Order: sequence, then structure tokens, then C-alpha cells
Amino acid sequence: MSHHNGPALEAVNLSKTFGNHRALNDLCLKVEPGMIYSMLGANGAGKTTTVNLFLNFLEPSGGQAKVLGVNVSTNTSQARSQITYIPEQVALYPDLTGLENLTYFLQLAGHRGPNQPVLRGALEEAGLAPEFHTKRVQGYSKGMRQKVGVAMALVRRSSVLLLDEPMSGLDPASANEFSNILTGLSRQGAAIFMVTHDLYRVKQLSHRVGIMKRGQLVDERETRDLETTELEKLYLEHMRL
Amino acid sequence: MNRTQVQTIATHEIRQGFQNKSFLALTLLVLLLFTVATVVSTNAHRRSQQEIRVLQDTVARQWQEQPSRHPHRVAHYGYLAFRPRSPLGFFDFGVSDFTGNSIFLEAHVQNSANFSEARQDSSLLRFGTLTPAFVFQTLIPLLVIFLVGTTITKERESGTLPQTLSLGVGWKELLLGKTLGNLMLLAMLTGPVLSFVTLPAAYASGSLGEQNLIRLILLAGFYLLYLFLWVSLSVIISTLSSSSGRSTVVLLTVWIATTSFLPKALPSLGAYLHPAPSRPEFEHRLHLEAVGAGHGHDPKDAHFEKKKNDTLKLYGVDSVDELPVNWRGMAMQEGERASTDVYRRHFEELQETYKLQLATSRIGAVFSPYLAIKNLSATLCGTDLESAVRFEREAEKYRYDLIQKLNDLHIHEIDYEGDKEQRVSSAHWKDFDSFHFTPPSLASDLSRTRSLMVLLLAQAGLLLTVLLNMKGQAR
Repeated sequence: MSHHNGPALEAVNLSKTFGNHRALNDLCLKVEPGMIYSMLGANGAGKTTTVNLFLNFLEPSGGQAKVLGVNVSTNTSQARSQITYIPEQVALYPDLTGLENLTYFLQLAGHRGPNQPVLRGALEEAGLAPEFHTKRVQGYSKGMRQKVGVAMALVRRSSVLLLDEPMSGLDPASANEFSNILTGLSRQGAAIFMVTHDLYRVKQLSHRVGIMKRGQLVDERETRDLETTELEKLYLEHMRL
Repeated sequence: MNRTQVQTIATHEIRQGFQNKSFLALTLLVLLLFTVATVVSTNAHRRSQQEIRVLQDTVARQWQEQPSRHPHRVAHYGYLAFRPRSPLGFFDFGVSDFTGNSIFLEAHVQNSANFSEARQDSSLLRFGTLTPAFVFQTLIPLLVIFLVGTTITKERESGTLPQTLSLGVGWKELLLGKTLGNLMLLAMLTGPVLSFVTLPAAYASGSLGEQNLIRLILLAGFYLLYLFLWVSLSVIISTLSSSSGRSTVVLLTVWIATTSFLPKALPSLGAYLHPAPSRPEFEHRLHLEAVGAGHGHDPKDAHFEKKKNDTLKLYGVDSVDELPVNWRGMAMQEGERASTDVYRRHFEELQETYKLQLATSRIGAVFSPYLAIKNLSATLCGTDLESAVRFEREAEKYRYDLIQKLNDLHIHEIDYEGDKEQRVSSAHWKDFDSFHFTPPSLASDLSRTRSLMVLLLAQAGLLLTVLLNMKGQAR
């Protein structure tokens, strides 16, 4: 974990346009260390664009995306080295085992020679049964792939987690395990930014929730001040507007 | 530059390659083709080498075993000069199959086979000719396209690309790692087989001398560079393409354009810009001009009048009958000199035209590494056009010296009176040296191909610069 003072993730008037279409409009948000921030919004609202801008997969048309105070556009590798990214579908190499995938990605992330017991321990902690560690990923379910992604976050002890609908399609037990791990990581000081449609998990996990609509952050609340039903009502209201 | 990331990606690429069964099957097929091509071409090359050796020895023996004859009859009996097969010719036939390997040498004429139109280098490409060089130049790039052409697009499509980039891997490290990994994978898969097949073939062809070993090492180095060009180009196109299908189509288009279209189109353009005379036209023009320069068989030809007067004056006599030397032999010598001047001038003019045509076709090497490596490979194997032209020049020099030496015998050993009925002793034929072709030296070959070497290195430098500075789309 980093010892940076200030927000772990920060969007400063962040904008992105594709041709004439404004996908993100002057987004300003902060995610402090240890905070789980959930972003809600309809498809096309700009949630994934925000994640892509924080990863610098897209160049902003205006403003800045910062990770631990580092501008991702100008210091991309430095910023990315602090991030673990878990998309809706964790992409792995099908011909390699879960353990081999984990080893490869961790080596790329700069972990020199992570030893097997540590990696196996992380996979187990993420919920992947030991008999699957050395099985080829081509036979893994979506949930099992997500667990390899989580194991990566556990080993890397990243300061920032960017999650793009990570629990979509997971069975309730897996989603619950995943939620527990996120809570644990947050307690250890990780800043988690999660794009989701799952209002129940938002209320259960998040410290703060934002609602996006047509590229704009239209509402932002502390989740402790909201009941699930209120959150749903608020969300639907914004969807109707 | 994060070297650990480059190394990790390269190792990963090698490992993935070894797990790619369809790629391994294709590699096996290409290596099988290479082995067949090497065995077949080595056998043909050795057979041809032996035949040429036997024939050249037979010609030399038959020359020396001639009975006592009139020297000018011997000049028309003629001599057959053979171009020995280059030791490394088994690897790359170059233009040797099209230029011919023998010339009939006789008095008064430089045989027209020397001026075959088929000598135009690039038009000699035949897609179906299976030689080891063909496999290297044409088929291995296809293998590269198959292996590397979708290296980035496939990762983008499967989602592993954003996953990889999100870990802090830069494009520079990713693209360099993929290029080096695939280059090493191809070298590991093909190198041992290629060496195992090529070295015994080189040994069997008698080409493992010091100079030829240097040529082999240079060939290996430049083919590795050629491989790098295709691997890096495939990585670049794959990075720029939006889908695997599109990347493959673009690369196949580049392959067709550089290995087939340009090598066929540019020689035609060269021939259009710098037309060479047709063979009948060339022969007709030569004949007219040679006859106009004086005919050695006619001692009264007006063209020799000055020479005759100078000779009479030199010996202080009034007629050729009184000369202590044979004027008919001198006329032959003078006629040979004049006609050879005409032949040589036309030959050089034709060579200049061919050079201009070749220069046009070599411009294509700027856009086609295939053309550069093809010319370079043929030169290092001693089967290029320059080697063939050198053979013709050496054969012509030998012919001229041979005929003039026979004319000397005619002048000094045959009397003017009763010329045709006389003979000279067969012992004279043993004084004539046999024809031996000296191929261009390594230094001269390297000097001639310097521009191609620089071009290949520049192309590699350019692609490496692009690789190290480009960025693609993560999604």
C-alpha cells in the first residue's frame, strides 16, 4: 500500500468526447484510501469510460485523472503499477493454469519470483479450491476466473482497485465471498472504485455511491445515510429524469 | 525500458508458441519442405557440378588430342567454356538456370546465347521453384504472418490486452517483448533443423572453405534480419488493426505485393523505360556492323588496306607474296580484332541497358525486403547476374586470346602460298591453357551488395523505431 496523503483516486473536471458525442462531462470525484466507491448508472452513462480514463486506456479530452496524486496521462506506468483492475470478465490465457496465469501477470506487475505457496495461498483466500490451481483456465467458470483476478489483487496489495461490474453473473455464494474480500482489502487501506448495477451490493459494501447519467455525475451520497429502498428510489428517479 | 517485463513477455510468447498445435504443424510442414528442397537442390547441384567438371575435362582433352590441322580450321572447331556451379549454388539458384552455363567459343563470332533476354534478373522469379532460398524468402514469412499477425488483436479480442496494460506494462515493453519472443521462438524451432540440413548439404557441395563459411554466416545473419523485418511488421500491423481478420488480410496483401507483385511489375517497368533490343534484332545489327568492319576471310578487304601497306612498308617489300609472314593470317587477326571491338561495344551497351532495367527493379527493394534479400542471397551464393556476366566476359577474353594465338600460328607457321593445304603440328594444341572461370571474390560481392545490406539494416532500424514509439488501442 502507498503512503500517499490525499485521495487515492481523483477525477478533476475529467471529460471525454468521441466525435460529437460527449461521453463524460466535467467529472469531479475523489476516492479516499480505504473507501469503497460505487458508481451507478444506466448503460452508456459514462461509468466504464471513467474506468478506462483512470487506466489511461483512453486519453481524456479535458481535465485529469489521478491515481495517488499521479496524472495517469503523463505517468501511465507509474499510475497503473498501483492499480489492480478487475473487469466484468477477467481475461486469462486459456492454455495456462490458474496458477500459471497468476504467476505471469504478477511477474509483469513487477513481483519478482512470487513463490508458489504464497500464490496458492492467495488463490485459496480468493476462494479457488486447490484442485483447480493447476487446471487449465479454459475449463474455469466465470466465477473462478474472477477469483484469479482477486488473488492478483491480494498478492499485489494494490492501493487502488478498479472494478467494472465484477459481480455480474456470479452465483450468490461467490458474490458474497467476493464482497468479503473487498471489505477486507478496504480495511487494509485500499481505495476501491466499483462500477455496478447491483444496488444490494452497493448498500452492503460501499461507503459512497455516485449516480451517472449521460456522462455527468448527477448525484453522490454516503451510503450509510441511505436504506436500500431509498437508494433504489433515488436511482430510479435519476433514470427517469 | 523495463527489461524484466520485456523478458517475461518474450518468454510467455515462446511458451504460448510451443502450445499452439496448428502453428507447430505448419512449422513442421515448412521444415519438411525446406528439407525436401535442400535434398533435391543439393542432388541436382552436385550432378550438375560433376557433369560440368567431366565436360570441361573432355573439351580440354579433345582440344589437345586434335590431329595436325590448319590453325584456322581449329579456330572454327571451337572450344566449349563451362561455368562451374558455385559451391553455395545449391541453396539459391539465383539466375543460373536462366543464363546458361556454357558458351561455344569460335572465330569471328561471340555466340548470341551470351545475350539471352532471359537474363533480366527479377523477371526470372518462378513461384514454383522449390529451393532452400525460396522457402526462406517466401514461405517462412507466411509462417510469421500465421504466428505473429494476430498477436495483439487476439489479446485485445480475448481481453488479456487491457489486463496486461493495466498492470503497468508499457506499449514499448509489450511490443518489443512480443517481437523478440516470436523471433526467438522461430529461431528455436527452425534454426536447428535448418543448420542440420544446410551444413551437410554445404559440405557435400564442397562449400565449407573459409570464404564460403563466411558467406554462409553472412547469409544466416541477413536471413535472421529478414525474419526480424517480417516479425516486427506483423506486430506493428497487428497493433494497428481493429480485428484479427483485418490484420491477417493486410499482412497477406503486403506479402503478395512484396513477394509477387513488385518483383514481377518492376522488371516490366524497367524494360518499358529502358528497352533492350530483341534477340533477332540484336543479332542482325551485330552482323551488319561486324561485316562492315572487315571480314578476316577476305585478305583483300578494303578495311585492311592500311594495315597491308604498313606491313609491306615494315618488311620493305612490294606485295604480300614477298612477305616473310602470312598476310592471310594477319588479315584474320585484324578482322578478329575489328569484329571483337564491335561485339564488345554492343555487349557493353546491352549490359548497360540491363543494368538500368535492374536499377529500376532494385528501387522496389526499398519497399520490398524480399527483393533486397533475394538479390543479396543470390550474390552471396554466387548465382547472381553479375557472376553470369563475369563468366561471359572471361569466356570472351579467353576466346579472343585463343583465336589470336591461332592466328599467330597461321601467320608464322603457314606459308602464304598453298595456305589451305598446310597443317601445323598437333603438339601446338598442348600449348593452349584450358579455360578456368574465376568467380567474383567475397570482397567484390560484399562491395556490390553494400547498398542492399544497408537497405535491410535501415528497414530493420525503421521498424524497430516504430515498434518502440507506437501505441495501440487497449480495447
